[in-house]
Amino acid sequence: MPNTSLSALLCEGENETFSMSETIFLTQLKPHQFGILQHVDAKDGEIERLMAMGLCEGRTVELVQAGDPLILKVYGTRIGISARLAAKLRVVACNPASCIVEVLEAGGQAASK
Amino acid sequence: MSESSAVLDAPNVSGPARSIPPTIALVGSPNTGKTSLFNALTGLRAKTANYHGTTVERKIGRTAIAGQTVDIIDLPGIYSLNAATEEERIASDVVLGKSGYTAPDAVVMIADASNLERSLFIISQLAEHNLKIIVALNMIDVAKSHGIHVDADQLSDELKCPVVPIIARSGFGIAPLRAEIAAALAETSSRPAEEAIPLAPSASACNACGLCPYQARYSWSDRVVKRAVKAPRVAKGQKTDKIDRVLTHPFIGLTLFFSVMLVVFYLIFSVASVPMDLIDGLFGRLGSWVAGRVPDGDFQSFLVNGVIGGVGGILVFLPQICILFFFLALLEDSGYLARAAFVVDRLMRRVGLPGTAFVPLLSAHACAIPAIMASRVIRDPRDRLVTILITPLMSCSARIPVYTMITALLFPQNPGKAALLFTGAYILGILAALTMAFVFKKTILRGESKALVIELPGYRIPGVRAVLLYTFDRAKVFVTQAGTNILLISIALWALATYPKTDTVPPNVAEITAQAEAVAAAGDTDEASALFAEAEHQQSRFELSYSFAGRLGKLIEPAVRPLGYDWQIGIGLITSFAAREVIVSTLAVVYGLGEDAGEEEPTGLYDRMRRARHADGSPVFTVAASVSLLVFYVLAMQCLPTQITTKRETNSWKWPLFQLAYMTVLAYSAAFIVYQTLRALGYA
Repeated sequence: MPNTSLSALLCEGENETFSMSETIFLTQLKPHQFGILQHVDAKDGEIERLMAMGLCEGRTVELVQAGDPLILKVYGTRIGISARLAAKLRVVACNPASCIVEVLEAGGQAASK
Repeated sequence: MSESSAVLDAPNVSGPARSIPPTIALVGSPNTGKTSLFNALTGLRAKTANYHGTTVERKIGRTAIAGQTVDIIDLPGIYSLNAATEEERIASDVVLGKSGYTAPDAVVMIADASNLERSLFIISQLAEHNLKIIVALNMIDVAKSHGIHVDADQLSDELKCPVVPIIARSGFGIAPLRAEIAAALAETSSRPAEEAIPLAPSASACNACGLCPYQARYSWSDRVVKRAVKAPRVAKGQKTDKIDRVLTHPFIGLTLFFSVMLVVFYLIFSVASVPMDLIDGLFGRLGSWVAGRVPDGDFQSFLVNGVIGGVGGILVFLPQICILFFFLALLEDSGYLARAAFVVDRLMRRVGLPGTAFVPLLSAHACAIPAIMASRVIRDPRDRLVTILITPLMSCSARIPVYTMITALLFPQNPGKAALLFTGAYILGILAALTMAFVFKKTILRGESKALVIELPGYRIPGVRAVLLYTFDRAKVFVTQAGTNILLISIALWALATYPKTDTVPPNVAEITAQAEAVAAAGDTDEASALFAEAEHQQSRFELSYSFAGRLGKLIEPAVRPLGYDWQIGIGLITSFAAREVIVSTLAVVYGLGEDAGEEEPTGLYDRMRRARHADGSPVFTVAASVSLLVFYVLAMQCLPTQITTKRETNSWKWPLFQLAYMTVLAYSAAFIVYQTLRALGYA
């Protein structure tokens, strides 16, 4: 599957959940807005560091504080990250009340397939 | 290396009679309380060394569990076993028994109950190997205060390993944890491979496809959390968010940070001076006590000036090291230090360094040794090395006596100008450091500096016990690992300034002695003792110039002549190689005042220095030569303990030698330019 992201995979079965709205840069989120990570466009070493911190495609992040560096929250962990790096992360903005649960279930389904 | 490290590094070597105690490895992410748990299990009986051939610290502590001696290894805090950093590579090598390490008999995985997802990630990696795992579910008190309930039994079922709820800082749950460790050690066979945690099949399949290879692990951990954790839907950590709004504010946060650092810096400077003077005085008294009981001669000189002086010269750094690390541990434990690195990051990027480099560089103004030791907070090895290399350019407190001497020499009547020159020396050090950082990043340590990614842990009240243990550990590392080397070289330098000895009494000393005897015979005892002291000072001056150090001073005179120095200053450069402030007492000796004159009657020393003449009759300490000497001491290495610390922290003699070389070249060139320019302008 060339150039596929996990969300695209998930979306095949769940079109209405991810109404494939346009991805935006993480830096474009507003404070306390949530987003689902779609694509991490960083260099190898940087991707590793981000992933180990939980910044991985398909995960939900919250922008806690905008600026440079900015503060993100990934499942309760706060991460300070420079705007330069954050601008390499693409997200789909989502509704905070619903997206966490949906991602969990989607993840569960994908995993059990 | 210590005995225990031999056991670890060379797994199959054991004494014939002594069996190797079983080992337990502590694994966990940063900020999950791993160190607290280590302290709770081992207390003060921990040894710190580096992993062989690396700069990663290994802490190992011995404890008795169910009557059996057990070694606990505190692995570096990691986010995964992916070997993305040196620390992760070592942690995974040790846990999995690769690269010559013996695999531990059991692994205690410390998980943060208030944020279980993150810890589960490493557990999912550990579970793929044939290891006995015990999960220590830490900070259940913090989780509870957030309304989070973790079902330990359910979690144990999910993970198929024992789960023990603990509060590492208070000691709650440590006894059951010890019992689980004992049970794991008593078990003969390790867990069968087929009982490994059943990650979803798509998980392993996903490793091969182009997706994020961690996605499956995270999905798995999300599902485990869903089953074992009951958390309120209200987002936690709003208090932390509120505090962060102030402390990480681009302007207020930065102002607060500078204020905090100023206070810490001031405390290092002012509070440390009391115990430092105490240590100095104590060793001075010990020296004279020994001198009074050991007959005069080489052995007495060796004991007093070589050994006692050397040990005193090491211990005098302890107050600054302790105070700096006490406050750093306090700030780190409270969660503030990560914010400090966060707010100052953008500022530091302008000189190509990460925000984490700020604290070491500022503390270097008190002393480069703790500053270099503190540079461990810088995660990127290249950034850390650059910081270590430039740290000694910051004006440390040992430069103050030298700056004081030269500014007072130049501007005895004008404290304003003296203060200006003093400040100029500090600014020169900072500018030189930042310039060199820039140069190193463009040349030998080339590469884009890694963008900031830093975990901001929740705020909490720092644990006094953990902070004190950490301070104690840093002090111990310095004394045991730097101390011995420093002592040896202090003794070598003492020998250099003492041998070869001479019995010759130079004519001027004979003359003064004869004069003194005549005055004593005439009954003027005050005048006589003054003359005797003068004769003694002239004799030690003669002996110093006769010694190897004196000969070296003369040997290097042609080299230091273009900087405006004579051979007597050359001796000072050599004797102050290990400790720059020694130049003051050396100059006091070479100008015939006795070594304590620099402290006791500095104006006398300054007078002698002003009257000092070259062979052709021209003054030695002209404006040009004095400023050149000042510039040299701002930029030159001239501190052996720092070099030894660099060696320890970089795990190679290459970097301290490079540091010595570049700083000497820098100091020499700058002093040369300054001297020649000032001379051309007529300040000679």
